[in-house]
Amino acid sequence: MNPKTWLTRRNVLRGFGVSLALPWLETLAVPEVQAQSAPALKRYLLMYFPCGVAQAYWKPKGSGAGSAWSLSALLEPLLAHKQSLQVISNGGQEALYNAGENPNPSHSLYCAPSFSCTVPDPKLPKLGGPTSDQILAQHIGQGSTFKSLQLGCSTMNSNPDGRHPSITRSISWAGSDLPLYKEVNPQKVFDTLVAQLSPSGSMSADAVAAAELRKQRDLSALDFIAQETTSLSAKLSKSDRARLDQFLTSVRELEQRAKSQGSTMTGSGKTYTRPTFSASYTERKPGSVLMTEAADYNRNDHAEVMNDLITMAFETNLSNVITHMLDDARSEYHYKFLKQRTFSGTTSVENDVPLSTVQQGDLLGYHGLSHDGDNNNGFATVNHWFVQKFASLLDRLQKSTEADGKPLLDNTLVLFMSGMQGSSHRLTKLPIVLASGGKTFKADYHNDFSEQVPLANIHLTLLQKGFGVDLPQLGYSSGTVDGLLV
Amino acid sequence: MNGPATPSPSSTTATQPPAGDPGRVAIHRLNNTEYDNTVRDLLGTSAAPATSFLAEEGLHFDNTASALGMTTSQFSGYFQAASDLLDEALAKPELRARFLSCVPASGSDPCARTIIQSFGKLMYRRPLATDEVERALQVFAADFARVSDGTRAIGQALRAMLASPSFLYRVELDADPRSPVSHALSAYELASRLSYLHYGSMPDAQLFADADSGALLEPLKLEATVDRLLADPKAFGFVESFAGQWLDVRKLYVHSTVSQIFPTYTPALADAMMTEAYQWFQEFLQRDRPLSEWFTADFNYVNGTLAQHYGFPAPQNPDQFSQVSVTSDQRQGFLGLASFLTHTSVPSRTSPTARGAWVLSELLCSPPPPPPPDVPRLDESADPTTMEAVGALNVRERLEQHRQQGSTCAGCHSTFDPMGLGLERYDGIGRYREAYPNGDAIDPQGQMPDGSTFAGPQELGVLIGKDPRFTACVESQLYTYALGREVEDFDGATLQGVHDKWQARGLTLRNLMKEVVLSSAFRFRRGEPE
Repeated sequence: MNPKTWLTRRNVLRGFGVSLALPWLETLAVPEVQAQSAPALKRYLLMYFPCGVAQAYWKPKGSGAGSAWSLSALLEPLLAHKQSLQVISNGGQEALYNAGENPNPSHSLYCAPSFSCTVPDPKLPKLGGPTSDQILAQHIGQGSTFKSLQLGCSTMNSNPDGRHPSITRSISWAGSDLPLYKEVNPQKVFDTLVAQLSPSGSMSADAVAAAELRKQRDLSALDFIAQETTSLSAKLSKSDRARLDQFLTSVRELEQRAKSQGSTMTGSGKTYTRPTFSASYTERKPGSVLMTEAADYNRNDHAEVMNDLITMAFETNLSNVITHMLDDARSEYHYKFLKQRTFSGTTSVENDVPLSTVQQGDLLGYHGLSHDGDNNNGFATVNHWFVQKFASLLDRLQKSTEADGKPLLDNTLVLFMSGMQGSSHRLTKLPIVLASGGKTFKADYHNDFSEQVPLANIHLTLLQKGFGVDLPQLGYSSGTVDGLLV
Repeated sequence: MNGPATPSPSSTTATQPPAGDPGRVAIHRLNNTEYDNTVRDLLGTSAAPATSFLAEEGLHFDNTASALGMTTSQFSGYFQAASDLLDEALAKPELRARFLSCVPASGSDPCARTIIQSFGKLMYRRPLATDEVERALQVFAADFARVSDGTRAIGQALRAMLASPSFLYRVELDADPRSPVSHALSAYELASRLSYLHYGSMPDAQLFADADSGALLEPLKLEATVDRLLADPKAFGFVESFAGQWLDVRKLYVHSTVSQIFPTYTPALADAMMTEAYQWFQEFLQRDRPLSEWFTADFNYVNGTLAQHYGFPAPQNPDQFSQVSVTSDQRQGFLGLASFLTHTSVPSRTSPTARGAWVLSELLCSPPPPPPPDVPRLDESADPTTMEAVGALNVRERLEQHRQQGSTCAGCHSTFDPMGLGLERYDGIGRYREAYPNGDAIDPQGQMPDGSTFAGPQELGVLIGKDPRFTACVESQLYTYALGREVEDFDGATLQGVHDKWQARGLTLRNLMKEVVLSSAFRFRRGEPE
């Protein structure tokens, strides 16, 4: 039998019906990294959204804990999760803006640099340092098959503001010049994850043998490729050797995955279903002019499926560090599937009309809307949708439980933020929300700092205090922010 | 492995180290388009696996070597594609005949060596070194032991090679990678540079033959090769890639308009605009039109859809594109092309600022700085539903207002707005008009930053065409694309030399292509001190 017939992942699924029953992870424990001061947090998710928020409807009322604060109109979708939230007001990156070459503020500067806290090269794909999630992945990602995952929902290429596009489209960088491109296709994410899992139920002897043969052939090919890479590398200059090092690292990582394929879990448990649609950058479809997205594409479904996949990756322990871009930094995506909301005070109402993307004669994508003022209902309507997707993810992380019966969120830190303030395009007063079990970081809390808190210090605090990462500094950071801690 | 080729006695002039610094191009991963083209030409497949690879980022052009990194997700795509491609090839007799000249009967059958050597040369775009053949044979033999099937075991070896760096990267070697002394590329390395420049794909049989003989190292042969490659239909790959990126034709893939304002802007029209732009560039490239005609040439390429859009008489066959010359249409030169006029507009109207800034950036290589924070939108006083309605201010008036909002705005805008305002006679999808929708007559006059004045778009084109930055910009764009690296400070002398020789030959795209290919930066390289 040709192993291929068994091994395309689609066939794996066909063989087991539409959905795949996957075991639960009672037998699996995430390796304890630093047992002594044992921070409670095991997982990290960064959920990024671009262009900031309509500030008029963002800031919570009151400050402090519990009943001392209440949600704003834009945060209203999070009502059920208020007890897990810490809203940070007055975080910013003034230090970055004033740094070095005195860059013009731009979307690209407020994207990846919001997580490396460095000033990127004006031209080259060089960020200046790794992003905080990648530093964390080095610490807590080692025990999982995918040290980190990069996901996103953007399907249109957006304007990169003159800087290298990677800086506006990748928020995870493994090093100064190593952007980790995000995967936007839910089916690919699912297939990649599922390949590592062993289906429940018994497999025929043929299928087992075919899988083993395939694994042996993959490993043989990968071993050859690694040898070729090493042999070639010896003939190259220093900078080219560094390029091939990236290549070799990728080969080794695939080798590891091949070795652990299908062996991750045993036992009984959960069912995951392959997403029914795929998504990709529209610009890349060859041979046809695509004026609009595919007729059956729905951004809301896309975001919901990505939330499912994030939850799946956490539940299966396949990855503990995930970054997710709800959209690219200067996205002109038309959120025309949304209904226009009208905001006032601490609430908003949905009108039975589509989001008015034509304003003052201009057809506005999201970025265009963001320029239309901090009290612009169109801008706020899209912000509100981002918050809804954050809330729907928290629903999942609350509902899904660990072996001990506690919600996944108890051991997870979710950082929901944008690197830009809002309509003014400044990088002060950034919208930043933490969601967690409240054991390390304050929860049900509005942290309204009177002076600007450097964003680099916030990231440093999350890594040091939340995950026990022994990191003295991140970018321009000057210390930790103890006010975030319980 | 072959080092830099030893020059034959007759080619000493061709391989003498040049006076200036040729620079070096980083080890060059095939980009997604190059990957698909290469596996098409190598294996005969039409699978185009890279369409499902991760979208990747270019730098200026999508073939800039320094921007083409590698992550696990990307390698995973290559590894899977190699496996799928060999499965496909083994399943189709007409495809596997390309490499399966014999079927190995055992793990030590010399047939396997023959296949790996001959097909490996096509894969790696150069002859294989002995140790490379041996390692591939080990993969074959191990697999033969596993599957007892000579065909499948060959497939396994080739599949491993297809995900190896020598296939996935264009490799150019320095005898001493740490030496800053320049040296000639090997004939095979040069063959790859030529084929990826013209075809976006692997060398063809003739390039391999000319590399085998070393003839490719001769300047006269190189020149003739440029003509030969440009005559091949595959050279349209260069047009789509280079013009598609330089002239931003590809932007029309994602450009959108407000349908209430531009109901005629359909996918078919956008498609026609793109086709015209490629044909227009092709005319300059293949028919040797001098670049001095770039802004004045009075021809267009239209099908029925685009003819109607331009207000031209309907062509005989509305489904086909033909060259037409309509002199009464107030439209000439590049600045009259609907593709340019459309992708530099916003969805509801023209943006004189964007048009002017684009000309400055892409045709004169003098990009303006990005706007400062807190920039107000232009349209704040405009009617909210219909742009430029009766009684509202037109774009020129609103821009005027904007420039008066502060000297910070005016300083920059004065460098590009005049050009954009001079093109106001073309609407947001490139139709000719004499008045704004609100009835105001359009004043197409203007004054350039240097004080020269123009009465309308034709005169504006003439002025821009005379700007010495134009041909220097075209040269630097092609130089960047051909080398796959950004222009560096040390390139100044080489660029000047190319420009002088190009001017002497005549300022056509073909002559530019030849001078770039003959330049030291294209034929030589150096190591980098550590």
